[in-house]
Amino acid sequence: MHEVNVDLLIVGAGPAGLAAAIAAAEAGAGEIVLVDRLAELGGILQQCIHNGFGLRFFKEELTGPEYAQRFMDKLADFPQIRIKAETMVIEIAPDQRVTRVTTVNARDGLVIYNAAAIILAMGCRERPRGAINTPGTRPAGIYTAGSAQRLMNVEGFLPGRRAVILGSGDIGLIMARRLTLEGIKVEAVVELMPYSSGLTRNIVQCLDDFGIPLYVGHTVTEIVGRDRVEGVVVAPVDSTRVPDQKRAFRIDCDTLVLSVGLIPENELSLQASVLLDQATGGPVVDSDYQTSVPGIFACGNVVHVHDLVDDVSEESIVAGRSAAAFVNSRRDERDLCDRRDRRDLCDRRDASSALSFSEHRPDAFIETKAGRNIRSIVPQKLRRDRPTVLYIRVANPEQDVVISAGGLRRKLRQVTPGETVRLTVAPEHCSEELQLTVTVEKSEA
Amino acid sequence: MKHEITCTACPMGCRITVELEEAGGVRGGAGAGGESGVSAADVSNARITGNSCRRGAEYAWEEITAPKRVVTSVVAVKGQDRMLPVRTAQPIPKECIFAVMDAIQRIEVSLPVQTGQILVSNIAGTGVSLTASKNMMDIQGGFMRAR
Ligand SMILES: Cc1cc2nc3c(=O)[nH]c(=O)nc-3n(C[C@H](O)[C@H](O)[C@H](O)COP(=O)(O)OP(=O)(O)OC[C@H]3O[C@@H](n4cnc5c(N)ncnc54)[C@H](O)[C@@H]3O)c2cc1C
Ligand code: SF4
Repeated sequence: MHEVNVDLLIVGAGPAGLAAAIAAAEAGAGEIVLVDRLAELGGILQQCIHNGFGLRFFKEELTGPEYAQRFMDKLADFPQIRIKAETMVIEIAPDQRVTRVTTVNARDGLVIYNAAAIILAMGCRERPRGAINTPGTRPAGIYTAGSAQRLMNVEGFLPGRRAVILGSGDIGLIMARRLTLEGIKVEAVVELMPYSSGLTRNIVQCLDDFGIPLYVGHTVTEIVGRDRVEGVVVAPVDSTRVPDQKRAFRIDCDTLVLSVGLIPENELSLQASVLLDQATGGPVVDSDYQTSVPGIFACGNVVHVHDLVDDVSEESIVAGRSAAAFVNSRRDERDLCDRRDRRDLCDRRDASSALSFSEHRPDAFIETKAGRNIRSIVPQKLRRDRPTVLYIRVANPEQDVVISAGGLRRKLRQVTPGETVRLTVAPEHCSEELQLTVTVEKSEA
Repeated sequence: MKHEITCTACPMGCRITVELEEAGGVRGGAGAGGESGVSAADVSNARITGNSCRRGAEYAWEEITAPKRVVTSVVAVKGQDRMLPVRTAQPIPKECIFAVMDAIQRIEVSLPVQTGQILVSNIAGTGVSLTASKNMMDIQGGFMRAR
C-alpha cells in the first residue's frame, strides 16, 4: 500500500466528474486524479444511446455517448488530469488539512491519495425491487430499467419478448421505445401517480408513436410465474394509492421492467460525515458546490437526481472551479507557512473562499427554504456576494403559477415534478434575512 | 379534417389543434415529398389553435404532414462482446423507423470507429446516413488503458 499526494481527486467520471475535472484544470487546480470503477469514462451516458442530450449546453441534439465523447476529447488537452479507470474508491476520510481517499484496483492494489480537495461525482443508483414491495413470486424476467438498458445497449442481449414497464418517468418511457424498436412487445406502461413524470416529448415519441398504452393511477399488485414471469396483475389505485383489487386485471408478459426511481449514491459521503439533505437524498451544498466538510465538493446526480445532463455539466463546472480555488488558496497558505515557518498563519482560516459554510459565521450564507408546492432546492446555502442558479423541484403538477424566490418572481404556464425549474437568484433578490423561501402560487391573472 | 397534437418543441407541451380545409390537406400531403419544411403559406392555410408560439405551429404542421424522428440503436462489432451505439445523422420519416431498424440489425462493423463516422450512407433508402455515436478502438478498454 502506498500514499500519494495530489491537489484534487474526483470520484466518478460520468458527465459530472468529466466537466468538473476539465473546469478545475482550466482554473489551475494543479495535479488532478479522476477515478472511476468502470473501464470506460462517461458514466451512465454510455448506455443512454437515445438522442436528447445537450440541447442547451451544445445547442445540438446529441446521444448520450456523443455527449460524453465531447468531454472525453477535451481531456486530451489536460495532461495534468490523471485517469484511474477500473479503480474503486472504498473510503473517504477527512483529515487535518487533506482528505484521505482509499482506492483499490487490480493492478496497484490499495492506494491512498491525500488530496487537498475532492469532488464527489458518484451519480445515483436505481431503487431495487425490494423498495417497491411487489408481492408475488420471485421469477426470472424482472429487471430494473437501468440494468435492462445496459443489457440491451452495451452487451447486446434482449431481456424477453413481451414486457410491462412499471414507472413512467423518462427512463421508463425511453425503455418502452427501446424494447419496441428491438421487436419486443411492450404491453403497457403502468404509473402509480395520476400523471406521468416524464417529458411530454418522451410520451409522444416513446409511447404515442408506437401505440403503447399508459395506465396512470395504476400499479402492479402481483407478479405471476414460478421460474419465469408469466404475467402481472394491474389494478387502479385510489387517491391514497391503495389498489382497488376488484378492478384488477392481468396482463400476460415474460418481462417486467421497473423504473421506480433513482437515489443519489451517498455511502461514501456519509462515511466522510458530509451533511445530507432529506429532500434530495444528496449532500447539502453551497453556491460553490462545497459540502458541509471543508474541501469536499459534490456535483451531478450525487447531489440531486437531474433530468437534464446539461444541468449536470453546468453545476459541475461551478464545482470544478470552486475546488480549484480552494486548492489554490490552501496552497498559498501552505507556501506562506513554509516560508515563514509560522504555524499561526497556517491556521488563519478567514477571508478565503476556501471555507465551507459549516465553518463560516452563520450569517455569511442564506439558506434556501422550500415553501408551498416545493419539494427540493439546490444549492441549499447561497452566497451573498454573487448570483446562484437554483434547481427547484416542485411537489405536485400545477398550471398557471408564479414561482418566487425572495424578490424574484416568474410566471410559468405549468410546473411538474418531472421537470426542474431553473432560476437564477442575484444578491438584490435577497433581503438581509438568513432564509430565502421559494414558493409556487396560483397566478391571479 | 381535425388533428390533435401535443407540441414537443419545448417542455410546455401545448395541446395543439390543426383544422385543415380540404385543399390545405391535399396540398400538404402532396408537398411532403419535397421536404422543404413548412412555408408560411402552408401554415396560414390551416387553422391552428392551442399553440403558444410560432414554433408550435410549425411543429404541428410538420407532425401532420411529414413527421420525422431520429432513430438510435446499437450494432454488433466484429470480435467484441460490446455493442456500438449508432444514430441516424438526421431525422428520418416516421413511417421508415422499422425499415431502418431492420437494416441496423443486419450490420456488423469492424474497429476502430470514430464518433460521427458514416457506417451506412442512405440507410433503408431514406437518404440519411447512419453514424457511430462513439469512439471505439480495437484494444479492450482502448482509450482508458492507454493513459
Ligand atoms: C436511463 C437514463 C436516461 C436519461 N436520459 C436523459 C436525456 O434524455 N437527456 C438528458 O439530458 N439527461 C438524461 N439523463 C440524465 C443524465 O444522464 C444524468 O443526469 C447524468 O448522466 C448524471 O451524471 P453523473 O456524472 O452525476 O452520474 P453518472 O453518469 O451516473 O456517473 C457516475 C460515475 O461514478 C462512478 N462511481 C460511482 N461510485 C464510485 C466509486 N465508489 N468509485 C469509483 N467510481 C465510482 C460510476 O462508475 C459512474 O461512472 C438520463 C439518465 C438515465 C439514468
Ligand atoms: S407551442 Fe410553443 S410554447 Fe407551446 S409547447 Fe410548442 S414550442 Fe412550446
